[in-house]
Amino acid sequence: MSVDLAELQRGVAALIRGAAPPTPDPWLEEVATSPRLGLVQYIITSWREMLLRRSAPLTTTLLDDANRLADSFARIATRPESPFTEDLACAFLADFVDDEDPLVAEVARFEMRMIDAAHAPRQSGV
Amino acid sequence: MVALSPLPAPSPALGMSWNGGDELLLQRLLPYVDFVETTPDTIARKQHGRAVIPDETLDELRRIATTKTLLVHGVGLSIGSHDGWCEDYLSLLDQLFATVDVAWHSEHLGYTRVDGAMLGTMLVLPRAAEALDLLCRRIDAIQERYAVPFLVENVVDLLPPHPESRYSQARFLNELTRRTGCGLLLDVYNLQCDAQNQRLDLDAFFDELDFRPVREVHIANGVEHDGVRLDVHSRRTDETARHLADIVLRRAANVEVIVYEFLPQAIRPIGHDALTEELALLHARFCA
Repeated sequence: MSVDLAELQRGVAALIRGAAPPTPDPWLEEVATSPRLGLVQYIITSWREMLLRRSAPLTTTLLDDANRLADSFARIATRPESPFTEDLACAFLADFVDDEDPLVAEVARFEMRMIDAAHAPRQSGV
Repeated sequence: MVALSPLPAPSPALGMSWNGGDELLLQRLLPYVDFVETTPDTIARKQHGRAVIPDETLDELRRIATTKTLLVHGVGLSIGSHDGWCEDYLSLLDQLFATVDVAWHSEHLGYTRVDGAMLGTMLVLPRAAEALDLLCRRIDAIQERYAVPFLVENVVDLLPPHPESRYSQARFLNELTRRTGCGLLLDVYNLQCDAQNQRLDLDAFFDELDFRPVREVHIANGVEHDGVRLDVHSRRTDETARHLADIVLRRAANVEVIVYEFLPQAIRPIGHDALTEELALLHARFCA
């Protein structure tokens, strides 16, 4: 291959994040200008949005009603992915716990606590 | 459309994906299936900073396994990452295999992480010698680690074809199964996606593929975006996928199960009645 597997994967990962590949390569240049790269980014964003709507339904609904949801999703799109949905949701909600809209702030804090409680290990009580 | 071969079709069992949810729905669906397939990454939760499968989920799987055959199908191993696979995923497998009986496990032939960072999606490797060698080493290591049989699954390719993909898709799969002895999970919806998105010649693919290692078939349906078919498992199957499954089942004598895949997030949009109808339809079509 013109670049080895490691450089190829690093290059694709960089392109997905909107950065330049660390090592130039003709195929990576083709990917950079292909509409398919945008499609892959769209899939990643859509998946995150779906998970956030599911994990934080109240906060996302309030933001949607205020026409603020698209900007909120865009902000989180560039952050590192976590394998845990609850990490993604808490990172998203953390942006709103001190929101200027007191209802949004209160609901975001409530949903963060709900996520913490739902995923805390069960105590074997006596 | 690919023509059917005249060979008689074997009768596989029917299976479904299940990653927790409404107990009433589970009880409605279970009579139609003999296999239940679960995804460790999906059922895992974060506890003390690491992924674990909650006790109540393990209890549910144990209950299912008393009457159905349990399969494990991963998405997070990232078997194709240049810098190594995901150890957290293997921890989940360790936990599952220690507590429930599993007939076999499988994973996608792709990568979801690079240098430890998640991509947020799954991508395929170039079908070249370096990738083939890496995958064979990893498959060998997994088969050494677990006594349970291991199957690999074809993945939808979205990016432009890599110029150094010297192997056809079928020949690449043939080489993997021949060199490692692993099984093959053939996803006919993924083939449908590749045929539409990458102009995969399905006649040539089926003529070249060694069907003997195919032990499981996946069937699903998704959505299109800007003319590109996406692998999202959000709908009932269509006739194209069912026809492809017919072709595979006529050629693959060792298939034990055809699994209908649906995301937990798709349950509400599809609906309980429609899911039940879908399993009844698939059972009548493939398993009668």
